[in-house]
Amino acid sequence: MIINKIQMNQNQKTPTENPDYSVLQFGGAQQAMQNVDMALQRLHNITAVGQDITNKIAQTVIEVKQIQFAMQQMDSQVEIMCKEYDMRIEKYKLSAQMIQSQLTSYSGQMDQLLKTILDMDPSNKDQDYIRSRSELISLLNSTSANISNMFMNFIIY
Amino acid sequence: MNNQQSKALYENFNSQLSVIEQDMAEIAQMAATVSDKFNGLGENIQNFAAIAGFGRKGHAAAHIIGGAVKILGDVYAELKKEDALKKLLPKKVEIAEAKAGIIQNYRQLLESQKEKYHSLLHEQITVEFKEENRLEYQELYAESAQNSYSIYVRSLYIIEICNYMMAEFDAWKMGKHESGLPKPDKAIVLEEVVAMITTPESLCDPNNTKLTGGIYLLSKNEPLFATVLNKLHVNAITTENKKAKRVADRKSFSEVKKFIRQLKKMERSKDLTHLDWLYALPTFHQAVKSCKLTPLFLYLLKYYSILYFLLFLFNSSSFEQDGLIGAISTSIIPSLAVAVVAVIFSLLIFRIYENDEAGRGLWYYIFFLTFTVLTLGLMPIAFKRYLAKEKDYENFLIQLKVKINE
Repeated sequence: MIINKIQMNQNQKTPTENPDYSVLQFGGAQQAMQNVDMALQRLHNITAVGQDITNKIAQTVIEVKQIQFAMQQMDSQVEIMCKEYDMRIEKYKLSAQMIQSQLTSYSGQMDQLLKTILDMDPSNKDQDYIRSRSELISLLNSTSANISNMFMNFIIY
Repeated sequence: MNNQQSKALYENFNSQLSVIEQDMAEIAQMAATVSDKFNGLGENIQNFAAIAGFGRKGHAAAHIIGGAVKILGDVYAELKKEDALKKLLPKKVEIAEAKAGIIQNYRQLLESQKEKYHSLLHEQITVEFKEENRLEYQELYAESAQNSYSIYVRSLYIIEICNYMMAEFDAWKMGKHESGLPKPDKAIVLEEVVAMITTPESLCDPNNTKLTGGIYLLSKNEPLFATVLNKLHVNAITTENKKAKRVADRKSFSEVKKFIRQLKKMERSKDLTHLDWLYALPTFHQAVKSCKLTPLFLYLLKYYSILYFLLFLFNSSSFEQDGLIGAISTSIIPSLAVAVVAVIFSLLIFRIYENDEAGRGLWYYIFFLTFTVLTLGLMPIAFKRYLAKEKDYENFLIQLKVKINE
């Protein structure tokens, strides 16, 4: 750019001026300007590389921080999980006794119902007899459903 | 508790049981994130040498350091994951200890009653009635049959769940994170019920028209009918030597198709009304629709024959001389011959289209374009429709499994 400006200035000289003198005078200046230009270019390159390196270092620092953060997050998540598990265990221990007593009482009822149903005569064609047997089976089904749902709730939650 | 609530509870079982599995997956995901971050850091170090203008040695050193960071990151993330899982394992063992007693007791109770439930269901399944007594059966026996079926299936499925849970607990106690056993599947229980009721052969036997409580249950419970179809499919798969590429060429498909076709034939017969309840099942209609698939050769031959027959017919010179019948008779043979040739080339093109994506050269595209023009655009449409039909059948099989575990 500077060289271009000098050349433009040279072109603006009047023809009465001595060409040899102008060549000598402006040749030195041109060289100097070229050197300055190159120096500036180098400085620019060095600054750019420096900036890239700074960016990379900053990025590396950020990534290291992110790793630290991810590890801390993992640790705290596991801590939370452990606490949740402790709460669940307490809940299971508390409900286990109640479920056990319910299971015992329901199973007694079911055994009795089942015995009554199987003792009845399935070949009896009396409609009232068939209906009462059907009601007993229906009762057995609802008792079985209740006990199973209670059990499933205990297993799941 | 109503049926909907209990159904929701059983559906929840597999998803809720995996709460612990979800926790494990979450830990694995977090470890993967740490590993990814280390990989990013390693990449950064490797790129650093190029930017900073290090020499060849510096470049190599940065590359080695970056690689080492990546490897160490993976190792560290794995260690971190194992550490987290180890922290949770004693908690899981405590859960197992809190639950195991109840599970064992209930399993014992169900095991002790299993035979009685079996007798009760068997008794309901073997109740026979005549066509004219359908209404009476529905009024007096149907509810008992349905209730006995529910009790039996529920009890046996819970035994399956208990066995699975105990296996998981044992694995936790031995320091493993899971037993590796498959999740409880209702198909095992339903297959037992189906075996008590009938076999596919006797179900579609036109001489066996007995109306029983078992037929009532099979016709009113979609999961049972879905089990019959699924069992046919699975049994054929195990005896298949090699899985054919095309669905219609597989033995598993032809077995299901044969069974459905026989039922459909019986449905059309006015004398055979004993399976009327079954014909009303949506799964039956879906099966009929999905089993319409034919081998690709026949599928293409049908459409090409029609196409070329119409082309020959309209260009026939014997139209004016011999009339319509004469034109038809002179068009049939050439149209079939051209259709067969076109089908052979189409099958070749289809095979390349499906198998050899990388090897599709210019010749393939020239052939494809030529036959698209020669079949008036029918070839690509037929390919697309056929693949969609195959996909339909695959979806039907998936839906059967969903139905079974409903």
